[in-house]
Amino acid sequence: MRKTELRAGFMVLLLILFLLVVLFGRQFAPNDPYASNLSASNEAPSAEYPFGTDNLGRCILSRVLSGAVASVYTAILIVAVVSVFGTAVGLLAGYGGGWLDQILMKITLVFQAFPGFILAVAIAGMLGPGLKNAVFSLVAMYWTSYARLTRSLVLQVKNEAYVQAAILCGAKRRHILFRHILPNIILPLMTTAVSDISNVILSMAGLSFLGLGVQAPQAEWGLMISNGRQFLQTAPWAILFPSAAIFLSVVLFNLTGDCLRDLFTERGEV
Amino acid sequence: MGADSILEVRNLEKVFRDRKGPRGRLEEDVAVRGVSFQLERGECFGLIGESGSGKSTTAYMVAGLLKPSSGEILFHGTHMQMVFQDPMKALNPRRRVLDNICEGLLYNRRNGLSKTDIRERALEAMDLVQLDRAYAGRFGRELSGGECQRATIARAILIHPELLICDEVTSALDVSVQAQIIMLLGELKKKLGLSYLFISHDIALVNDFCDRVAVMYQGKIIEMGTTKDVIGHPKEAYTKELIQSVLTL
Repeated sequence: MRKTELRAGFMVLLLILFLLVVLFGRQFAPNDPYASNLSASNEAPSAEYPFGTDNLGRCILSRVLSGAVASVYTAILIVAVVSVFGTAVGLLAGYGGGWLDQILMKITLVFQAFPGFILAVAIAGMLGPGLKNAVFSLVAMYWTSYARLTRSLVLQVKNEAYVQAAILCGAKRRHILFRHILPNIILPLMTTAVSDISNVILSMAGLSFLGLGVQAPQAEWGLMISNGRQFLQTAPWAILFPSAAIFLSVVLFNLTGDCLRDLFTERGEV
Repeated sequence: MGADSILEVRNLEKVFRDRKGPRGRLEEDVAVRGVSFQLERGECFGLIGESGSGKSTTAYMVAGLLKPSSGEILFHGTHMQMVFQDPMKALNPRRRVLDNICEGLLYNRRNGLSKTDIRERALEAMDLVQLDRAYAGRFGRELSGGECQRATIARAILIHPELLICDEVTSALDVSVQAQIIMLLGELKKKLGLSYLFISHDIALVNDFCDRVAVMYQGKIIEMGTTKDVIGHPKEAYTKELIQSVLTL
């Protein structure tokens, strides 16, 4: 087995392990993540509270584990939605061509005219705080890159001889799109999606930090950092551990995306 | 036009319009102009000429893959198929060889064939093009160029076309493999009664394989006749030059 294959395999394994920890982490939380204990507020890490406590005396480890689902799985859900939606738009624009392409790409350009995060903040701000609105604003922010990437990939593939041969064999538009074009462009889209999860985790944390995402008392990494920043001098662990969790997940998704890209590039599939 | 013709092409023209230059001015590029020819049943008709002379554009229009700007294409048959220049790119890299070959019948389900029947026919087509059935489960990238071209020919003949358009089918192959593919096309012509529209810039190959030939230059047919006449006794200066260049090489 080659080095890149080993590296990609290892990273995918590590990522699966991380996702399992995120999914079942709550079961192993030493304390109730929502139970306040004011007598133990801003307590330093100890045997009872391995990551310390926040200003309301809630166990930070339990909250980091509990908030992982909101942070990581929401990001995965957002990427799943934007990649499916953006890919569909890109497929239609790239394969349809003509006026359909013009209209879809102009709409994409309008969304891309705003700096990404500013657009998300504006939409979330208009719709009001909450997880659902934050998800919607991030979907609006991220779908365009998939639409443009898919369109450019479709333009590369749609005139290949195997597509022409399929047309001559009587393949309908749906056959061409789903049997011949999509399977041949899916790998670059997948690697982009894996890397993008980390960006969405950061954006989600950013929105929550600004008070536009997940609302208290729900545990979420960005919100925990936002709450903890007032006590940075006295209880730095309130920021340190959720930040470390964000850092870990971002690095993990980025590295896995890079390793997959290297692997597919080496195989000539990207 | 002949009573037994399979294909009639009349005054075919293709103009590509594109915006060029810093001002985005609309420019026209006439790729094919006033091309007319006919192809008899069982005949092999060659289109020769240098790169950019409009041979492939003509072939793509005849196949229906490009819309002509003007002119008529009358096909007096039920099916025509095309074999492409680069066999490696003519097979979907994500589908196995047998699945690629099955495409020939897969989308035409009015024939009442089940998927199993189509697979069986695809395997028979593999036998016909002398491609080992062991390759059925492999991907195109695991086959040589010649084997890939056999697979694309198998896909093309699966629907029993009367006309096969061959667009530079040997130019991406080694010389020895080229000969094998030409022999195969010759055998298929006899067995299946195929007619060929044979696009090539290889004059020696066209001389051996085609009954009649047309020489294209700058989008126009400048000379047409039996292969013996055109290549043996060319009338046009360009045709002479073209043949001379092969002899010099």
